[in-house]
Parts: sequence; structure tokens; C-alpha cells
Amino acid sequence: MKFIHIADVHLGAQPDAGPLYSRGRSRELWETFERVIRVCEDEQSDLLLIAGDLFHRQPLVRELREVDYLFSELTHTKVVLIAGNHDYVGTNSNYRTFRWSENVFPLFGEKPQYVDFPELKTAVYGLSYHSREISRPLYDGFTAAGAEPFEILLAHGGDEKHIPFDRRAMECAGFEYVALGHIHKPMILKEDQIIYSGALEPVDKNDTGPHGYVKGEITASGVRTQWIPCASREYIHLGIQISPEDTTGSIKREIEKQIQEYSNENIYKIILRGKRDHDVSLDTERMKGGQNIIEILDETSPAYDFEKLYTENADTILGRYIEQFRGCREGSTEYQALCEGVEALLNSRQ
Amino acid sequence: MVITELYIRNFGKLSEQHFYLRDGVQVISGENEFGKTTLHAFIRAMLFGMERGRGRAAAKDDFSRYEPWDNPGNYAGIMRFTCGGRSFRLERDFSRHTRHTSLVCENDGEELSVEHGDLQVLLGGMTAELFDNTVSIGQMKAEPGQELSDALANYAANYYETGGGEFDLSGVLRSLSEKKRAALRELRREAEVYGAEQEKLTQEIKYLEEDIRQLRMEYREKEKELKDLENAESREETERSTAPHGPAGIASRTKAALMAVGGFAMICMGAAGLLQSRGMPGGLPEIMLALITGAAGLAGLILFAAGIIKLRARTEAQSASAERADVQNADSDTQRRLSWELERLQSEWKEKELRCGNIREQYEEQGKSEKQLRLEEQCRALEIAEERMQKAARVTGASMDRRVSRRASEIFSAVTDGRYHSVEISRQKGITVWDGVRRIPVERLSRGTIEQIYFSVRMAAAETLAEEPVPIILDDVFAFYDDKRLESVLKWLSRQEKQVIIFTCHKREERMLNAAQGK
Repeated sequence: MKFIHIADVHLGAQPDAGPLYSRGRSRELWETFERVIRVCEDEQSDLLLIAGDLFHRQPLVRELREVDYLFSELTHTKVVLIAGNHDYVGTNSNYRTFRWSENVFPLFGEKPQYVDFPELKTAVYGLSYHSREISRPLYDGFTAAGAEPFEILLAHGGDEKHIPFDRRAMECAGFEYVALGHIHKPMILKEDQIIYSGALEPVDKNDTGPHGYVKGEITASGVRTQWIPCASREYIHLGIQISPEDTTGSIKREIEKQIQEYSNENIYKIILRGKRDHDVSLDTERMKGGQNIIEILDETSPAYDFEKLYTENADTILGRYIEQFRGCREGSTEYQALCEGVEALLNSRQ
Repeated sequence: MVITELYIRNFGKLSEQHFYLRDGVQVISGENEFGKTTLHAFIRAMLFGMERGRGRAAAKDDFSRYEPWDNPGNYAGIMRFTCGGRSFRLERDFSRHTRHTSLVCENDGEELSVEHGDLQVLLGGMTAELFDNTVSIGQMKAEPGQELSDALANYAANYYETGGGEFDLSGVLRSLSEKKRAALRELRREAEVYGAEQEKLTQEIKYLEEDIRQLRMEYREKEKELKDLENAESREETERSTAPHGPAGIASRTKAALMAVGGFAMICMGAAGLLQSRGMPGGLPEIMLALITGAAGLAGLILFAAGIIKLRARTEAQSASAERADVQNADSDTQRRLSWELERLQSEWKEKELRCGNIREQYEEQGKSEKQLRLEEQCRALEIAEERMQKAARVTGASMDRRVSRRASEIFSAVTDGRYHSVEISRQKGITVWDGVRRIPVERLSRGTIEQIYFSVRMAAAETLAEEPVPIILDDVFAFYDDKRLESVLKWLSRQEKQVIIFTCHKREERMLNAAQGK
């Protein structure tokens, strides 16, 4: 039994993808989804498992038609899906009324249910969100019923407000495979058994790293899985270490160099760290150039030797000012206040 | 520390000149343009070095001002001084390319390291800024249009609150609040962008809501139409359910006619007319009726009304129901159309409601941008900075007041030869002097007296703030002193066990000093 497991496709989302790609990003999510459907067809997978949040929000009928059309073209693959916290089955949800193609098996019930595929010797279990948040641990104590030799759980959540679950319990619940969704970063909770495929495409600027889907096969001898990257772009957070010699120009050059290394197809957030010369003011707008940078965060602090400044100026206002910030953590608002004050004082030196 | 020799190789307008100095008070006098200010700057540059400024400021800094025009490669000098019983030779080359400093103890030839702070140790923690604000004294300067007394009040307040006047407190607070204002401005701009996006969503929600309203209205209208239709039908239905009365009524009427006329033909005509008047299509029923009535006529009067009428009534009822079915057919077409329409409207509005809900969700999710959060944090940081700066100023001011005020009063009293007993400096009340009887605000004092307060405060601070006595340099300070006060101040200076270098363009100081020292 061959399957493909995807999750968190978030169709309909409009993620910020930087100045170059934001406009077409929404379409890219659809394209990647279509690509996976094509993979299912090409490989004649038996099941396509969609572990929630296929849509970013409540799906419109026309969106469901689009998706269902794609499903209907599959000549062999059967599709099982659940609704996640984003596309939860609300009272007005179109999920309640939509008529799917014959090869689509939604598990939209609030209570656990399963769909049986005797020809595949497989049963797929699951439940759907009927509200945006569920903090009850619905999956704990949810065990395979033994309907078929191969049993799969399709589950969505795993944080405090979205069906928290006990991983150990899940390991022993009798499922050959647990296809997880909700956490956007691909993660293996247990090798070949409990896996977050991760979002198919990154949909938020903090969804860094590669994204894709899980391809697997269940045979009598066990489960084998493989994670396959397929996202068209990646969000990359680039930390750039600044030293007091750096200027806006030199940092700009460094950013360009690094982006060239990772390719400008991706979406960047730049974080400047370290100590800058206290006389240099960094112009982050100028550093962006024409590159696909969402934002540049300046976390540098001026290169002051506070200890030295303090001992040299203990009796003056500078010393007394520094004194008030004893023990404040670098990077805190207080630390920022310390830097601002010291800078203003030193600049006022007559 | 006592400076014993200054050798200027090349510095500003001076070149290849030696100045020999001794401990105690001495006067270096010369006319305008002689180079007193240059010499003063040279001492400062030798003691604390001279950094070349960067950027625009560089054009006006000391380095550029004193860089020799003719011989910039030899921008250098030597200073000899004694400190703690040992003699030192400090040599500096300020040139851009051959910049170099050496410090040698002449007693044992030990090479000291300026980079590692050996000179700083000898200076006892005196910094360039402290030097400028204590022992190196020029004439008091007021801003254009500012009263000297105000200048002194500002100076003194700042002097106290910053712990030596090295920093400009009001400048600091100004720059902090300016920075905060700039951050707030940017925050507003950012909020506008954010607001515009939110506004777009709100608009979209509004349009959708309007659409939904329209759809609902349409729905209600159609619904009413449908209901009316249904009502009409059910009215007919009621009529139909009371139908037995109909034929029976007809029967009785017919019976009456029959009784009155008593003729078959009349019955036939009456019945036919009755039927026709009911809008019945003629033909078969009429023929049937004729036949039946004919047969009835033939059968005689015994075959009287009841049976025939019963039959006729049945026929009548039958045809009426056929008519109704036709109407009903047309009606149910409209009904079907209407209910489809209703279904369509409902699904359309449901879809729009869904979209509206989605946009509302998006509206709620749209949080502040990271830039906004960062700017907000910066504003908070700047607020903390302002607040603590003021606190630091209070603490520093209080401690300075404790340490400096009493000594400043002593010096002021000595310099004014006891004319005033004390000077009091406070941010709130300004500066006042006490002459033993009255407290006089500084505004009422002469320029000379104001200069003397200034002098006293700086001298007092120099004593308290500097660990190691550093030469006092007085650059044209006494121009506004009358002879008596000048005498007193020179006497006071002579009593201090310090090297004092007085730069002046007058002969008065030298004469008086010689007289005082009995030369």
C-alpha cells in the first residue's frame, strides 16, 4: 500500500514572500498542490492523506470545486482528508454540504471515525476540527480498532490549543502510521511511524527551512517512509555578524554575497547581530537593494565597553547612569535604554 | 604633576620653540596673535593626544586647526614633566602617517607605554573632558543674546548634574526626546500603512455585508411571492374541500327551476346555460348532458331531479377539478422556479457570509508588524533612558553639591577677599551669593563677580574630581577682574601647591604676581 502524506497546504493564504514574489505567492501554493496530485497519479499511489488545513480559511464552494476536480482526475489514488483548525467545519462550512468525487473520503466528523479500504487492507482513522481551537487531548486513548491489517491515523494538532497529545501513548495506539499536520516544520516524532510532513509550502515568514511531503509504503514487513522536498521557495533567516568596522555599504555587500549563495529565489529575513561602531548608524533600507528581503532586523548594539566607561566616569552622570542598569540583560529593552542614554551622553561631550 | 618644558616642533603657527616652566604660578604673556591659544591647545594635545575626527566634524577639529601648513609631516612636539618625584619625557608625533607616541622616564630610562595607560596613571584619572571642564579655564562664554548670569546658571546646573560639566544634560535630554519623537513619527507612518490595509479589509467586509443584505432582501421578496402563491392555492384548496356544497347548491337551484318551469327543455337549457356560464368548454359534456337529459325526459318525470342532478353535479365537479389542475400546473412551475431562485440566493449569500467571515478572521489575525513592535520597544527604551537620565542627574547633582559647594564657597570668599561668604547653586533657585546680610541673585552681580563664581566652582571641582593635581591653565581669565580681586585671586593661587600657568595679553598679572612674590 503506497501513500503520500501532505498537510497544511493552506490554499487561499496570501503569505508575504518579499518584494519579488508576494504577488504570485498565493498561486504558487496551488501549483505545488497540483504538483503533488500529479505525483500521486504518476506513481499510482494508493492513498493521498491530507492531515488538515488544506485551506487557509473556510473554503468557498468554487475552491472546493477546484480541489475536487483535481482529485477527480486521479485514476487510482483515493483521497482521505480531515479539517484542521484553519478550515474547521463551522456551522456554515461548505464541507458540510459539498459533494465530493467518488475517490474522496472526508473524515469530517467531530468524533473519531474511519474509512475502510478492504482492497488495500487499510483503514484510515481521523476526526475533524469543528472549532478553531480544541484544547482537549482527543487523540489520547484513541486506538486502532483492528478493522484492517494496516491502520493509519490522520491527525491534526499537537500544541496546547490544538489537541495536545502524548507522543508515547500515540506510539502504542496500534497505528502503523500516524500522518500528522498542524506543525509547519517537518518533524519525525517516531521513525517511520509518527511524522509531521510539515506544510507543503512555507506559508509564514517564520516557516524557515525546506518544505515538502512524506512518501510511504506499508507492507507486511513494515512501514517505510521518505520525506520529499517540493516547495518552490524557502524562507531563510540569515544572521549576519557585524563588527565595529562594518558600515551600511559593507553589510550590504555581505548580504548580497550570502543571498547569491542561497539563490534569490528564496525569501529572506536578515538579522544583524553583534557590535557596531557607536558612531555608525546602519541604514537597513539601503541594504535591501533589489533583493527578495522581507525585512532586515537590526539587533546590533553599539560597541561600548560599559565597565570601562563606568570606572572612568563613576562620579559623573555617565557613571551614575550606567550604574542604574547593573545586571540588565543584553538585548532587553533596558539594555537598549542603556545604549541610547550612553550614546546621547557621549555625543553631548563638549 | 608639573610641566617643566614644552618643545614645539610644529604645531599650528608655532614651530621650533621651547618654553620652560616651573612649579607654582607663572605668567606667559604676549600680545594678540602671539600663539597663547595654540600653546594651550598644544599642552592639551600632549597630555591627552589628539584624535583625528571623522566625517564633517574633521574639518573643524583641533587636528585640522593646528596641522602645520608648511610642514605637515613634522606635526610633533615634546613635553617634559615631573610627577611623583620622577621626570618624564613625552614625545608625540601627530602626523597622519607617522603618528607615534613615546613616554620615557628620564630617571631610569624606562620606556612606558601610553597605549597601555601609563600616562593615564600619571595623570591620576584626569581625562581630556575633565581637563577642559576643570583646570583648563578660559573666559566664560555666553551664547549670543544670553545674559552671562543665565549662562553661569545653566553652566553651573549642568556642571553639578553631570558631575563636572563634561556632558551637556539638556542636550542629552533634548536628543533623547527628539529621537523618541522621530520613532513615534515613524510608528504613526507604519500605523497608517497598517491602518490602510485594515481599512481595505473593512471596506471589503462592508461590500460583502451590503451584498448579503441585498441577497437577503431579494430572498425575502421571493419567499413572500412563493408564500402568496401557496396561500392562493391553499385558499382554493379550502374552496375545494367545501366543494360538496357547490354541486348541492346547484342541485337545489336546478330543483327550484324545475319546480317553477316544470319542463325538460327548460331543464336542459338551464343546465347547459349554467354549465356555460361556469366557463366550461362545451362539447362532450354538453352532448352527454343533452343525451342524459333526453333519456331522462324519455324516462319520464319519475326520473326526477335527484339522480340527474347528482350525475350532472358530478360531471361539473370533475370539470372544475380539471380546470384547477391546469392552474395548479402553471402555479407549481412558478413555485418551482421560485424555490430554485430561493435556493440559489441562499447559497450565494451563504458563500458571501463565509467569505466575509474569512476576511474578518484575517482582519483579526493581522497583528502589528515587527517593525511596529521594534519601534514601540525603542520608544519604551527612550522613555526609560530619559527617566533614568534625570535620576542620574539628580543623584550626581546632589553628590556634587555635597562635595563641591562648600569648597567653592571658600574659594569664592577668598577671591572676593571676604566680600561674600558663600555661593549657593540650585536648579530651582538659581545661583545666589551671601554677603553675610543678604542673599543676592547672580543677575545683580557684575561680570567680574560672575567670572569669579565660575572660577571658584571650577577650582573646587578640580580639587574634588582629580586625584592627582594637574597644572591649572588660565587663559585670559582675568580681563574683567579689578585690581583688588586679581590680587586676591593670585594670592589664593600662590597658596595652592600647584603649577599654575596664566596666559594673558596684559602685563598686569605678571606685575602683580612679581609684587606678590616679592620680586
